[in-house]
Order: sequence, then structure tokens, then C-alpha cells
Amino acid sequence: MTKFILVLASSVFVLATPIVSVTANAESFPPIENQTVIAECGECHMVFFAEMLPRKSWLRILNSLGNHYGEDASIDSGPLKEIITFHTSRASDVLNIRGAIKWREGLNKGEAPERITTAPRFIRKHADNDFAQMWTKFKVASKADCLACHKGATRGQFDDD
Amino acid sequence: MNNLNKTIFIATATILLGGVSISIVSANSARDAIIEGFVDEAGMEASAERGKILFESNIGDGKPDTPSCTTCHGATALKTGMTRAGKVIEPMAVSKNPERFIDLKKVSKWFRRNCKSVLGRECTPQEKADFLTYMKSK
Ligand code: HEC
Ligand code: HEC
Ligand code: HEC
Repeated sequence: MTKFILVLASSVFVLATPIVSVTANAESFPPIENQTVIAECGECHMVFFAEMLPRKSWLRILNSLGNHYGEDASIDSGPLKEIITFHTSRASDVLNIRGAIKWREGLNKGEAPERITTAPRFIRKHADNDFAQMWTKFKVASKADCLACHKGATRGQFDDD
Repeated sequence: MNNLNKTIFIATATILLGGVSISIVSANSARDAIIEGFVDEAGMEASAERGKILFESNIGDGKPDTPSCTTCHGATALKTGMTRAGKVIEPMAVSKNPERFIDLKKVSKWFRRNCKSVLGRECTPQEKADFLTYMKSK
């Protein structure tokens, strides 16, 4: 039953989703398929791409989930281990794909931003008027709500505006 | 609609509705078992009235950004809420969302997290029973 609704819903979704053209220059991120990560890290916000922060940032974030930006996001040690491996092996200073390489640019050696929204590439890409205008127009609650402005964010596409 | 299409349509609708009512019945019994478990642990009757107070009060004994359950869950049980990162949270009232409180693992995880965030401690079995009884009544 649930499966049927899912199939129905996803076919509607596919039909209703506009086709986003990806320019050769833009980074894109492979969709996240790890079910543990999707289940544990996608409940309060979209699942962020590991390629956007260096290894050291992820270790800090994932070892302090009991106080996660002012919230308790703690998880059991079994899934936690898998989630740490996933993030550290795809970190911006570890993986050599276009997205990761872009997000490591501008980081000093050993620098570990606390957030994606304080990483150099985020700051550089959101410094202009377009961002400020969208922020006001869509009444965005948090910079971390990528989906409010990037409809393709969960599919790893950010050049759609 | 020709006759064949009509038959297919009716058949599909019947399967759909049949499936929905069966799944609602099993969701209800799963939820009742969870509530009963907390009532047994508490050793006293649950109160929807106390559950409402827990949900709506400004408690503020936990983390500064989350003084109340309603900080995230919307102003009333019937309303849609939003996480601090902007993600929509479906209403907590069972009448609005029949899939609420049917998986003990999920329920326990979120009680642990959210009670710590709001009350600065875990919720007692009685508070859990009260809260779920209130949401079931809404
Ligand atoms: C209980 C809810 C919750 C869960 C579960 C959760 N987060 Fe978060 N996360 C938040 C909140 C709240 C913020 C802060 C949002 C803000 O400041 O606007 C946040 C922010 C973040 C940020 C920084 C975003 C920015 O501002 O750049 C990262 C990275 C992050 N989370 C990763 C994770 C990962 C990885 C997991 C899974 C292990 C996870 N989160 C699970 C609630 C959660
Ligand atoms: C308030 C709206 C808003 C929010 C929220 C937002 N962005 Fe953006 N983002 C923009 C705008 C506007 C641009 C510039 C678009 C352009 O240059 O074409 C942009 C550009 C980008 C780019 C560069 C795309 C390119 O091809 O040059 C990336 C990557 C990006 N954003 C990632 C993120 C991530 C990750 C988040 C969430 C953590 C986020 N954005 C949240 C508005 C937003
Ligand atoms: C910081 C935001 C936040 C606060 C504050 C919060 N919750 Fe939640 N709660 C969530 C999120 C996110 C979910 C998971 C999403 C969902 O189930 O729709 C959730 C889910 C739950 C669930 C599980 C629902 C289910 O269907 O099984 C329970 C139980 C719950 N919350 C109880 C509470 C109680 C009790 C309080 C107050 C003491 C509270 N919450 C405060 C964010 C919050």
C-alpha cells in the first residue's frame, strides 16, 4: 500500500519537477544513497553534502551531536560510526571530484569551518544582492535552508537560479 | 469511461480504500500499544489535559533556542511546524496525521532528544503517556 502511494507520488514528482540544465562550469554532487545517513541526517534539514566541508569539520560536528547548533541530535553509536566513515571519506579535502575540489578552495591548511554556511565558497557565492533579495522575498528562516532558494539542492544542483 | 475502464477504476479505488482502512487499523493498535507501555511504566492513568500543558507551556529549562515543544511543532497540535533549519514538520495530532506515534523506536528517539532540548532532562513515562494521549485525542 505505502509502496503504491510512493510510486504514485514519485511519478507525480518526476513529472512536476522542472528540468534543470547543468552548465559545464558548475559543480554538482552525486546524490546521497547511504540509507543510514538519509535517515539520521535528513530529519531536521536536507542531508548536506559531505563534499562541502573538510574532514576535520566533520569529525568535530559528528563527535558533538549532543549539542548540535543548540539542539540534541545524538544518535546510537552503531549508525554514528557508519555516518562518520561516510562523511570523512567524502570530505572536501579527501575526495577528488569537482564539487569537493571547489569547496576546498580558499581553505587554509588545517582550517575547519563550523558550518557549510561559514565555509569560504559559501561566503563567496552568497555575497551579492541576489542572495539578499531572495532571502527577503522567500522569507528564508536560515541560511542552512538551501532548498528555499535552490530547488535542486537535494539532487546536488545549485546553479538553478 | 467505457465499461472496462470503469471496472478497472472501481477495482483500483476499492483496493486503495481497503488498503487505507487496514493500515489505519493497524496504526491505531500499534499506537495504543506504545501508549499502554508508558502508562504501565508510569503506574498511573494518563491525562490528555496534562499532555496539552506539557506541549503548550513555555518551559525553558533546556537549550535556549528551544523553550517549548511548540517552538518546532507549531502553535497547536493541529498546526504544521518547522525546524529551526526551515524543514516542515507535519502536525502532531493523530487526526491530522494518522502515521503519528506508531514506531516505538522513532517515538523514543524523539522523546529523548526533544525533552532534553526543552526540559533539560528526559521525559518521565508519565509525561510521555500524557503527551501521546493528548495527541491521540486531537
Ligand atoms: C534534531 C535535529 C537535527 C538532526 C537530527 C541533525 N541536524 Fe544538523 N542541524 C540542525 C540544526 C537546528 C542546525 C542549525 C540550523 C541553523 O543554524 O539555521 C543544523 C545545522 C547543521 C549543519 C550546519 C549548516 C550550516 O549552517 O552550514 C551541518 C553541517 C549539519 N547540521 C549536519 C548534520 C548531520 C551530518 C547530521 C546527521 C548526523 C545532522 N545534521 C542531523 C538540526 C539537526
Ligand atoms: C536565500 C537564498 C539562498 C540560500 C538559503 C542558499 N543559497 Fe546558494 N545561492 C543563492 C544565490 C542567489 C546564488 C547565486 C546564483 C548564481 O550565481 O547564479 C547561490 C549560489 C550558490 C552556489 C554556486 C552555484 C554556481 O553554480 O555558481 C552554490 C554551490 C550554493 N549556492 C550552495 C548553497 C548551499 C549548500 C546552501 C545551503 C547550505 C545555499 N546555497 C543556500 C541563494 C541561496
Ligand atoms: C527543536 C525542534 C523540536 C522541538 C523543540 C520539539 N520537537 Fe518533537 N520533533 C521534532 C522533529 C524534527 C521531529 C521528527 C519529524 C517528524 O516526526 O515529523 C519530532 C518528532 C517528535 C516525536 C515523534 C513523532 C512520531 O511520529 O513518532 C515526538 C513524540 C516528539 N517530537 C515529542 C516532542 C515533545 C514532547 C516536545 C517538547 C517537550 C518536542 N517534541 C519538542 C522537532 C522538535
